[in-house]
Amino acid sequence: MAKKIVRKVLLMLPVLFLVSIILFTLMEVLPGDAAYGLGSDVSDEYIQQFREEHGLDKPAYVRYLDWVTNMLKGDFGVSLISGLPIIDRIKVRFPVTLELTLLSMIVAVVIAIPAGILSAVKRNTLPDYLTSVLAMVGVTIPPFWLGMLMVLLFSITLGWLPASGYVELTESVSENLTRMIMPALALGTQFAATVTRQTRSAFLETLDQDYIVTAKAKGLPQRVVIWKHALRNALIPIVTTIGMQTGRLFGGAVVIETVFTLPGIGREIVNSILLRDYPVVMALIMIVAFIVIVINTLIDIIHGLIDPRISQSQQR
Amino acid sequence: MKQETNQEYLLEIKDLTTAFLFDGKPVPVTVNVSYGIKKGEILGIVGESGSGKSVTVKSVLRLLPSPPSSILNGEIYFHGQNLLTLKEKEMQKIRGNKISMIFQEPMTSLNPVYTCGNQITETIMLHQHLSKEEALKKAARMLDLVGIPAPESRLKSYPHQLSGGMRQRVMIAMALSCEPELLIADEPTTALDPTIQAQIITLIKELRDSIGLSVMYITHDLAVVAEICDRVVVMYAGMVMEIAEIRDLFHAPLHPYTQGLMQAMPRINQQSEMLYNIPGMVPHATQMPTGCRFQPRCPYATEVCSQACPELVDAGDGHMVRCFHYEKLRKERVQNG
Ligand SMILES: Nc1ncnc2c1ncn2[C@@H]1O[C@H](COP(=O)(O)OP(=O)(O)O)[C@@H](O)[C@H]1O
Ligand SMILES: [Mg+2]
Repeated sequence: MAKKIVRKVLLMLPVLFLVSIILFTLMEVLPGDAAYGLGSDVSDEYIQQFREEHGLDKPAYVRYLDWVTNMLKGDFGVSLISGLPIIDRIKVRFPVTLELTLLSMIVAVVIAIPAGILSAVKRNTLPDYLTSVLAMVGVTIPPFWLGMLMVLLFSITLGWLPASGYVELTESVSENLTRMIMPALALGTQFAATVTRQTRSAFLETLDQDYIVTAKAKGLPQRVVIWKHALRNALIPIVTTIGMQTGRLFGGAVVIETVFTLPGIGREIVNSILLRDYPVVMALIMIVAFIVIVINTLIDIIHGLIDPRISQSQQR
Repeated sequence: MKQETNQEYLLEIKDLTTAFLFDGKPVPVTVNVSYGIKKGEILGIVGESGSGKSVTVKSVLRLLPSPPSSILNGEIYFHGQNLLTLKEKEMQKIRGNKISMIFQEPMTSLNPVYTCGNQITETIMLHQHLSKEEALKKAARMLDLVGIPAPESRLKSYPHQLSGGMRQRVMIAMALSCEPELLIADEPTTALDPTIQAQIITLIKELRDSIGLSVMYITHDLAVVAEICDRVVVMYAGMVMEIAEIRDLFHAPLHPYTQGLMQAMPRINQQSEMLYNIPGMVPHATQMPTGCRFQPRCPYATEVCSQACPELVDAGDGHMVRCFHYEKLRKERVQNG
């Protein structure tokens, strides 16, 4: 198993390499470069000087190699706008996004998996109908709109929770959580709804399998049949869904951070794009891509742990 | 009408009617099924696919999901207790412990994500309260009993690492691990190739002889019945059509359906490639014919057959048959020698 994990981790490298090439190419073909961000009221000489200063006049492959080798050394370059090292900003912003996405994932999974199981086990009863309708609504509702509704209800009308701002977790846990709970729920609802639906259908399919009848025929109580024999099999597609939805979660974070004015990576990406601060955009997207790839690798490893058939075929 | 359970029987099914929901309404798929199995006996249940064999035996262990299934009528006596009135908790103490079941599809009947050892010891620890080590030892003994080589290492195997025949042996080992009195085998060899089928049949026969097991053996193959059964129940379209000792059934079948099944049996010395087939198909539960359920396909059918459903009657020596014309069949047989 350890060998397989090492191989999976090593496999991340070519993927990251590919992502970096695609990202770099995309940035290249976008019209204009960072110098455009300076506006139209600067002189041509200044633009020329700016380009030389930031190496923008070098050929693309040289800039790509510089970029990658520097990144490997942990140096993401400096912001074109502020002139400060990007890594410093990442260190501040990254924990915010990480907390937001992790929190919404945890809340979602803790609610979604039991809800999906309940729905499947009590198929065609009131709890099932309720869960299914809620999940349906949850899937269709856009996170930013849900966020705004929540602000309207809990902050403006009821005044229970602050509508925006951020307090670091290390500063005050309760202050942090009162500000993070709404964004996390707004971001996690769609995720939770999708996972609920996937859990329900995966469970229904699993409960129909012959080995479930075998488990009942052995005299096992319903509890064991569901939580031992059905769950582990149903988890295989559920884990896949969670993995695929995680990428979307980061996409959603961009919007949610804007709605709740959280100083996370998502909002930073949007701002940097608007300011054409390309080095920052590229650094941030690489970080997000890296996280998504890590999560997918984790999902693969978890699959191997759940399903012996997968770990078998990987041995070859 | 019999009123109480026959002491002769280990398990007795009486007037069992099980229904499934079709378009929201319960429609019986088995009707007044009655038969019993004696201690140490191998009882065959035969009939084409869709005859209600599986539904009946799954009703015994109450394994059918409800809804859509429901038991409309009947009793199932095991040691004088009506299983249908037991609480779910009490039923769990019987399943896998006193009455075990194995299924048609060995490829899918074992849980793919747990080892064979895990799945066998789970049953043992559940019913016999042994420690993990003792249960593992017992599981290895069981695998040995059903003819699996190197049982200790097989315990660590996952189902996908075993062949179909091996998996069915594991299922049998698991089913027998708590020394049940009754094994219900629902077409256990149908999905296996003939050599393996013969091995499994031999194994079941040996186990009956060595540990005094009673076996309900479901199959649609009369050749298998001839090989291992002591008595046979013939089912058609959800009803029992004939019950007879194996000798009587093969020498003097009294129901036209049984006759048809026998003519459909391949014979070793048979010249033609063609197999006889009873014309027509088993009718669907929602489209049962009036009168006798076999009447539309029956070469002996007369007017009376479409007007009333014959009762299951004793044609002598406990040979039960559900047909208006069984005397005629008997005479024909005597005439033809
Ligand atoms: N899960 C089910 N839902 C609806 N009808 C069913 C179900 N299982 C069995 N039946 C009905 O019961 C009839 C008998 O089925 P079954 O007992 O499986 O036949 P056999 O085992 O003799 O091949 C079938 O023809 C079908 O109409
Ligand atoms: Mg069947």
